[in-house]
Amino acid sequence: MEQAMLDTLRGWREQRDPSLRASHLLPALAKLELLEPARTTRKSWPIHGPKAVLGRYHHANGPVDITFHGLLDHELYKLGTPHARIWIEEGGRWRIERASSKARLVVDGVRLEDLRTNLPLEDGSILQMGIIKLRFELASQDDYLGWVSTLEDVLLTERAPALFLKRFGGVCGPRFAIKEGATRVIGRSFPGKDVLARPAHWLDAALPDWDLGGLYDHERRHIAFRHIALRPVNDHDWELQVLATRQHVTVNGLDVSDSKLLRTGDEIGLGSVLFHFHNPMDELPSQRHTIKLPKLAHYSASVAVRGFGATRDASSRR
Amino acid sequence: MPLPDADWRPGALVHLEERSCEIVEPVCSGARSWRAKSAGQLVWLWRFEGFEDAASAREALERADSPILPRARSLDALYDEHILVLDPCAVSCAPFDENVWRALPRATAIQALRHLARGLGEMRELGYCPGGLRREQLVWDGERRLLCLGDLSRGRSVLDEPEDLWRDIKLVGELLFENFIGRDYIGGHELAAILQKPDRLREEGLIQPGLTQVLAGCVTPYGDLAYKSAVELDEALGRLEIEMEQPLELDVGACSTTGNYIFRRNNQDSCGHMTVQTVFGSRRVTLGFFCVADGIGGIQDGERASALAIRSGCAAFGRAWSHDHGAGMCDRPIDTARAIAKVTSQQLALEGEFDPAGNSGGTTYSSLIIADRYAGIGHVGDSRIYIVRDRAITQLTIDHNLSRILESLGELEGRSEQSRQVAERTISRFMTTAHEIELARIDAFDPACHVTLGVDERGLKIRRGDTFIMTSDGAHGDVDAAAMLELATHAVSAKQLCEQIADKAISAFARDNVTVLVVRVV
Repeated sequence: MEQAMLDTLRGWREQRDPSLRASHLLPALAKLELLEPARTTRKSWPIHGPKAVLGRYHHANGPVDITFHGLLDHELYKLGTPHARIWIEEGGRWRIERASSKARLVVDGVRLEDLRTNLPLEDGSILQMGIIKLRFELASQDDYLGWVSTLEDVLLTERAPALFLKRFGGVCGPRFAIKEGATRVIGRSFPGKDVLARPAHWLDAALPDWDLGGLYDHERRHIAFRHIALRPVNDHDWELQVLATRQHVTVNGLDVSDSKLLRTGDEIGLGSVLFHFHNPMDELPSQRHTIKLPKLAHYSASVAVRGFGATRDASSRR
Repeated sequence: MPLPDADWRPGALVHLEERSCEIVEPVCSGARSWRAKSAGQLVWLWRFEGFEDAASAREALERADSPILPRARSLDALYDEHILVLDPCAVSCAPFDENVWRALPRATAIQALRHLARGLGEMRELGYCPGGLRREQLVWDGERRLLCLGDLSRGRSVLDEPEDLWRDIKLVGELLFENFIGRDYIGGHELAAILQKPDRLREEGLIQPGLTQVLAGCVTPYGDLAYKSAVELDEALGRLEIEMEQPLELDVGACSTTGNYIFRRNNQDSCGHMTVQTVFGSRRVTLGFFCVADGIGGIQDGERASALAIRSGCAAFGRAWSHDHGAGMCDRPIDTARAIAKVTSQQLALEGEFDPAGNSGGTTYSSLIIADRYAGIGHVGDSRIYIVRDRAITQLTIDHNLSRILESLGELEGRSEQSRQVAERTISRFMTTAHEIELARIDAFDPACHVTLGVDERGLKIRRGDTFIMTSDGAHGDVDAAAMLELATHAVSAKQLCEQIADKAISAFARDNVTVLVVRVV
């Protein structure tokens, strides 16, 4: 849909940075292709990182790397939040495990029953997650060392501390360099008071310094208009402050409700979108910072009422 | 020597260089244009006396794409004649019949004449013209409602003189006169005299705005009023068409009530509508926005969210109208309806973020746009939009609830009644003050309507007599589609119908708020 049409209808112009939709800079290490002959368009999701969480986003469990955007409602309903974790081990072999006790995961006909077990993936392995079937395909550029080298090149091009957007498990290119000595706000453009129904509650706040309105529709859905601020603590360190009143913030998988000191390599989750914090004054971390695995989630109907959909208060319905 | 006319008769064989053709019948009156069969296919054969005119016609008809023109296939010599073989532009057509023509609705006649004017213009652009078009050269395609050119075998190259165009388009004026007045054309001299005398125009019944202008442009090749091109004629017919249009009238009724369930303290439903009628350049356009929202959340939260959705939707509709006076809305009613739903959702998210204490609810949102002759829908949730047409009722929207998901998964069968009810009232898509919804999750029409009602990318073509019924689940939960159809069949107004549906739901002591919005196209 044309942006101009939406701007006309909303009565204010929303900023949409097209660079936020630029092609991924890192080579894909593998991809998951949906096996569904009845579909008119083929769907596949690349994996751009050596570790990736697969499934559906729910704020209680934090962001996932591959959200399978574009599936139908009943296909998404059977995906856990998250559903599985996939990673590449030394020697270049991929493995997969379940991330939820209720998540149905079948690999090449073998169903994973135990959360503590994992299975290897081969090029062409068939996965069944919920009711969808996927074929795991190794990319032609499967040189992990080459991937690491490209990642370093991307991160080191920025001389100042910066936040890098991640997609499909890897830093994808768009970044926000944080200027020294000033607090920077990240969010989305918003209108003036006159557009609000209750303008008295409007914050006299400046527009965000990094406007994420240009993200894809399903990504920006959980980005607040003023989501976080990045504040310098001293000459070297930066602190994240949560501004969002309705949306969630995580750092390395942990919910943050107030503020958090950042270190290079930290993975920041704004709603369902992940970012990589890089400070050139520090060494590059060798591993993805994940100090807490997402909580186990169930997709049974009782949870779905809360997580997937909503039920009106009991008195409002028969 | 040409083949004698007597030899061109049904059943006769014509042997051309590339094919043999069996004559079937004349395409139109006269012996110059014939319908024939060649290798099992129907073709037209036009008999030309001169090679240059035949070659010129062939060249033009190879390149033209007007629906009233046949396509040239080949040109063959036969004795002293030149036979142009053509693919017919209409398989089933009949020679022009004055009685049929005069009985046509005026709007249909104008449309057919516009196509004829465009076809003539296209031919002239390509260098060929009939050289004095007569009604005997026309055929009527009743299926497509088109006047097609059935014989151009006496045509020639275009001449650079004022009379050249007039010789072909004066027939348009004649046919227009006969369709509107219902009797034989009175002749150019007589008409030219009448057009200058208002009393005579009144006597002849030539009072329709736009009609006299077209007749004046066709009646003479001279003077300022004469058309200088087929495009001018087409535009004038277009203006006459606009003058003839009857805008849709919308009869709207809406009601929303808390209901009579003792534990229901407030009304979390909201509904709203806006209609705009404009006349710009004689063009009368009716636009309308209609919306039903059913609040979700706490008692106050749901009420605020649904009201905010209605206010935001109406405001966005107003902006759409003020932006281009509804032109974009008329071109793309579905896109506009979904876009309004999108920005409404964003407005809820804005209010939710900047006033979280005052806005924490959500709402369903079902909206209908009527833009000139088309309707579009933007829909999220389990409120519904129905259409009553031809004594049948059809739900235009899909319910976004868990029940439908379980049905898709094949897991609804075998569940208890209580479990089914929980699934029924668990909504899978809705607008919320927590975050905006993706455009991809805002639906338009149920895809089944593309087949059953002919909905296309633009929207649903509206007919007079259509009735749209929009309901929250408090209404359609207790009044089924058959009951609504029964009430719609006998209701005399939109207000009466919506009140009858609401009364029926209330008399069932529904536990929910009841909202009904009805739009009748009259």
